[in-house]
Amino acid sequence: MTAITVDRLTKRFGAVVAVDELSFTLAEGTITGFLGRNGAGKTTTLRCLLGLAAPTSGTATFGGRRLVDMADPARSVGAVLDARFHPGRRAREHLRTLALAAGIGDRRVDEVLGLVGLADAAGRRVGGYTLGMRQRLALAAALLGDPAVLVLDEPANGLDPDGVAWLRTTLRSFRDEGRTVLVSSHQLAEVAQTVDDVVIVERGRLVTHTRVADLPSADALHVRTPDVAALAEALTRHGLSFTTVDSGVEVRGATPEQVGRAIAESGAVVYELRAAERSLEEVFFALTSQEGSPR
Amino acid sequence: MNAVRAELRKIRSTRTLMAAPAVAVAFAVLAFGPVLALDSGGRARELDPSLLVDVARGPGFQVAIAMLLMGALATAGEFRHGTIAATLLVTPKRRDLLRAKACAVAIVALVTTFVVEVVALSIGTAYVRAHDLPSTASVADVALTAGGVAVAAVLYGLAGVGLGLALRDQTAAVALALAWVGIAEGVVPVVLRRPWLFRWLPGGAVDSLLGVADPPGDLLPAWAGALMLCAVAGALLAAAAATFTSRDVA
Repeated sequence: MTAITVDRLTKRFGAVVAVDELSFTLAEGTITGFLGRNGAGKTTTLRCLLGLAAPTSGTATFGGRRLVDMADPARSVGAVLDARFHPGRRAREHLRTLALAAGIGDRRVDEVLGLVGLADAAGRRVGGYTLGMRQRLALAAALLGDPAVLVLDEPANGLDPDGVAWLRTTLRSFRDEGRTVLVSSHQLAEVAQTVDDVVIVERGRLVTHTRVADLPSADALHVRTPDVAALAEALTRHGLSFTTVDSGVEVRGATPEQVGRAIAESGAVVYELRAAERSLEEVFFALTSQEGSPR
Repeated sequence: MNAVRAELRKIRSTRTLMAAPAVAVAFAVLAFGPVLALDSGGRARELDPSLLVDVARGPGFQVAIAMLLMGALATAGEFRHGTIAATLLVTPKRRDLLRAKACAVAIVALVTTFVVEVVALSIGTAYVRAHDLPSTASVADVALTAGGVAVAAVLYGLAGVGLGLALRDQTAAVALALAWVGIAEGVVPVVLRRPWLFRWLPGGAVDSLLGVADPPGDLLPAWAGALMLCAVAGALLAAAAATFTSRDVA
């Protein structure tokens, strides 16, 4: 089943095209990272999806339905956009007003406060909260209706390492229950540890939508060796391009056989020969730079 | 109905919003100073026998202004503090939210008027009895005047809701409301050399509802004043509905 469908979504602000014919679908029971540089159109897409901005053309729906058409939206979709609150209102009261509007009892308010670790601070006014506490409160609001879909815009902002670990665990258990998460983030290393799929956008357009495991590899071999100089000389003789790294060298555009022959010829001691890994960040930059020069 | 209850809870749980009805009630007490001041001999001044009608009318305009400001703060404040997005995620139908806010402010206006009138009339009645003053004011006269205060408070509150949602800027909404009530309504008829113009302005409509006419012919009949205020509140709510439903929420 499809949880989220974005179909040829376009959003213009005057002459500026923030989102340009963007299309992707997310299956139920997945965590998808929504990645892109600042101004790539991530937040605008999420706002269109959540009914806060009207698309210029195209649609963004949850299982074919717009949020505004849902009878019980809070029980279907939870969202964190920007963690902003009335500073004079107490955290528990903030959640109670949302719960009341959604027809959710006060008991659930206390449950989610406990879930996000704010039970002890629930009686304080939000104006005195740290950024991390505000982020937790925003997450509590998103979880109020125990929704099937979570849409999160930079949810790890301001969270301490414990909070980030908690968020990761929470999102995974959410996914394991068959629910769907769309999480926008610029913290690519964090996203890489959490998500199953990625949707990468640049200048409002889709760059790729794929499983993290299927992202293009580095097309390089990593050789771990203490004899970098000898190996470098042999690689040069064989006409292979390489870069030296902390633990040895990375050889690009060569087969393991070619590298193996160079190693044998150099007489270098080698501890390891393996495919080099690329971080999500490197993949992101490689993919988006094909769309145009980084801004 | 849940949305109305949620909006009422928002008002109850926010000090800024609760300040408006609190000030209105405080005014009901403080307004007695000049009205009921004793003369230099410590005796009660000679008062109009219809004192209790004056007492019911006394805080009327202030209650209306307090509700106007509360309506503007309850709506524009959502944009100032960025809570409108969270609100719309739970109540995404914007017309429903507008209706809920209008209903909540109207309810607060009615409750505030009730409390203000109970406080004012309790003090007034106690004063009349304590000084054995003659009173010709009938219960019907007093109730009618208090009803006029309630109508003015509700309609000014709704005007505030419309103003706040149409402008989306708390400072601008409050400044515009205060400038209109405090300056423009007094200045415009004078500048245009049309003193009679005041009767056609919202302030004149409130005066006609409260029966503040000096001389009586200067104002519209109470029913016409109520219609005038309905038109003003309706126009502002319509403007709010048009902009709120069509514009993106940042």
